[in-house]
Amino acid sequence: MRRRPIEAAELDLIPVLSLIVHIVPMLLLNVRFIELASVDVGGPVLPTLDAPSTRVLQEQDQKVVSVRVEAEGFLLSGLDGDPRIPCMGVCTADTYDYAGLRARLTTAHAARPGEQRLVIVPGAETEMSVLIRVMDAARESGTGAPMFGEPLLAAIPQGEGQ
Amino acid sequence: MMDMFTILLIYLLYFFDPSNDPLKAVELPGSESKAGEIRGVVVTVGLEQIWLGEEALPMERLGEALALARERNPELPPEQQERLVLKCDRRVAYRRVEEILTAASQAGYTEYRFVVLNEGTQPLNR
Repeated sequence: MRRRPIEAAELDLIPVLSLIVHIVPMLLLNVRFIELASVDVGGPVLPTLDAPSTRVLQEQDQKVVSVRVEAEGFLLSGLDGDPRIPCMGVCTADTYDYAGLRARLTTAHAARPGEQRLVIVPGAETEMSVLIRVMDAARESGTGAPMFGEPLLAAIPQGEGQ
Repeated sequence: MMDMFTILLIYLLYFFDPSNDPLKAVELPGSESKAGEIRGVVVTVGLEQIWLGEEALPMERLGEALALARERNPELPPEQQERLVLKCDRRVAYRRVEEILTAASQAGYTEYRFVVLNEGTQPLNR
């Protein structure tokens, strides 16, 4: 009796493929491709605590530069020249003149080599994105040289709080 | 095609984050910073909510919870037990952050670190 040749059965991959097609979009929605970094602050200078207020700190040490974030732009103190750096148009997180601030801080740092402290005085409504970009502008000069690597956050100026 | 899907599946599974990380609810600010150490007691600050670790908390309870978190984190190295890692939404107002920094300072934290998205060295004025 002759045996019939066995036909090679093909592997049915369609259910597997269907499953993968469902899993891939689900994973794509949950996956995060971000790289996190961090920005240090040297500790808040808050008059509600025992730490000295910004004003006291500046009176004690005239070398400390401060950057106040206002609704119209930046207001610098502790350095020569025009203290104002206005926004480029209506002030939003993207129209503050960070490049101008970096240029002024580069000049300020050249006059104070070795000084790493910088007091940042944000307003009550200053957004975190603005604060971080001010710290970026202060941390390195346009050529990548380190500048003010120890930012101190000040309390909200009185009258702006609530 | 099966090979391609298999590779893609393994790649995605590798990066899959099944946790309830509140970071999913916030948009971190971008920065040129490349420093990477973000271990410590983590507070996530959203537009309407604050989380200590993965637990949502009202602002009034944050100070007390931060003090407890310091004591209950013996697995962290000593230098990280007093480090507060803040993951703030980029639109959060400083008023809110100042409240948290004040509460943390009163709870004994001495080091503060903001987590940001590394955006490389792109120009600041986008």
